[in-house]
Amino acid sequence: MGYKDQIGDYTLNPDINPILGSYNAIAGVNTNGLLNQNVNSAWNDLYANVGQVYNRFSKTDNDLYSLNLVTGFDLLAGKNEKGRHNIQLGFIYEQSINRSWNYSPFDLWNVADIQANDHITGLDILQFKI
Amino acid sequence: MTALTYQLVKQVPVYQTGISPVTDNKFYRSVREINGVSDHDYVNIWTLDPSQLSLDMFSAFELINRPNLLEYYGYDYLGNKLGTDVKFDDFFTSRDVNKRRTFVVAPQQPIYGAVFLQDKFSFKDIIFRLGMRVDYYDANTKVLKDPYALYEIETAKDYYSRLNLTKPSSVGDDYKVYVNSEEDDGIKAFRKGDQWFLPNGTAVSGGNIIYQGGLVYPSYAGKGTDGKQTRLLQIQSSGPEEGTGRVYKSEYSFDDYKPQINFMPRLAFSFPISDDAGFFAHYDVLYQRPPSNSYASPLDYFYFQDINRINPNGAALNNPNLKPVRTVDYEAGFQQKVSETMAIKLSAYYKEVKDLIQQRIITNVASPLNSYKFLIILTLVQSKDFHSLWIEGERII
Repeated sequence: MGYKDQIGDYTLNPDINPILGSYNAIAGVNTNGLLNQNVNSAWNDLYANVGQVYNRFSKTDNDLYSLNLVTGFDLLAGKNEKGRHNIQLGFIYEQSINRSWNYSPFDLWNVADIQANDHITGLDILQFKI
Repeated sequence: MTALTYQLVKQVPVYQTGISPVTDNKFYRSVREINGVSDHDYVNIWTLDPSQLSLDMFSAFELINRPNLLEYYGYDYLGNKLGTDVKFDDFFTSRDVNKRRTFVVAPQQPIYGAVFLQDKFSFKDIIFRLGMRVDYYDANTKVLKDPYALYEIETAKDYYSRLNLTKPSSVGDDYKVYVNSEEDDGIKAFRKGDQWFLPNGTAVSGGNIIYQGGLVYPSYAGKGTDGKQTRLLQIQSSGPEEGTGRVYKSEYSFDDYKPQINFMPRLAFSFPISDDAGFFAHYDVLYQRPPSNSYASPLDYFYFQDINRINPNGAALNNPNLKPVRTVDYEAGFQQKVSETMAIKLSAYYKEVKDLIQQRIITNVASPLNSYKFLIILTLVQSKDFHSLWIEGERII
């Protein structure tokens, strides 16, 4: 049940990455607009091919709230230079709030393909019309 | 054609498709809203234009359930920023208005604090520098109760108490209990931390001595006196269990991170014996917050029993329960001016680093995981010692 892939039935959208879409001209390497791995990358996957886009979409947001209190002073014990104490003291407080969001979006098409009809279990023999 | 034949052809039934939607799924419905298609009819998504599709047509579950598709913390699955009011446990309980789980992951919010005091003074021509720094570090998240199991394991004290048996004196109260099988409650082994024991309490050099590659059956905490488990030990359960009403709670698997307070004394002195020479020495204790790999989200633990999810491409699972790395160093030496442009320095130092982060394979974990890679702190001494003595020529400008 479901849909069967049909080779070559693809129309280039000139507004969406036409360079990548032009690979459609290579006969038999794409199915429903999905490029075959042979032209998807070059040089043994070391580099992406021309027109290809990175399979990553992400954003991060790192906040750091920091409080530093540092002071120093001299104490002259016995009012004598030899009894001088140089005192340094301080307080530090840091609160980090880190956020991250990463997608590998190519696979969204496959998830959509699976999820679109995954709820259909087959024929319901109790529900029919003549 | 006879009347009978005509009647048969006319009554060929056309069956409807059966459907069984998963509660947390959404895309099957939202994609049908584009063209007003019935839930019973098939949809071909490859006929759609990208402009007709959007991320919010999926539910969170549909996307996190796909390996290597999505990772997030501090945002929801759609990329909307979350506030600091979102907590670790919300991942397991949060739902949208349609009762679908939203799997929100709280931001990473570690807290660091320090106070320090230093006094520099001289006493009988010796210059002292004395100091103390106190560091506070809180990963401010939850950590696995036990890296050997996703769910808390029963202690020997609870086990013997539950079965109304006398615990052997050689078995510690806090030993974790492993039984023969799911059906056989007899003791197969004990474990405390990384140390394994035979049923009589005798220590062995590793769990493989006992199991030899066989399956491991922890006796999970929460059993009643009748031996039945009162807790729902299914981290992926979406709500109360049918029939029993049991609900998974994160407290079955996780504890709060225990904040670390570390004292760092510092002592240094220098003793000039003339205008051109002097002795010097120092002793320092330093703590460094876990520099990396110290964040794991509930999203990681949700798929804890899938080795490909917690060790993707062989990478170890991060550990938020890492402790600060400790360094102790000593140095003593003598410095002498030789000429207007040269000096000689003799010194010896010793440096010791403890609690380094190590990658480790945790073995004898309950099926289906059996083993996995994890980052841990070695609590025993892992030291790097440097003993050296050298003479150094230095150009004085």
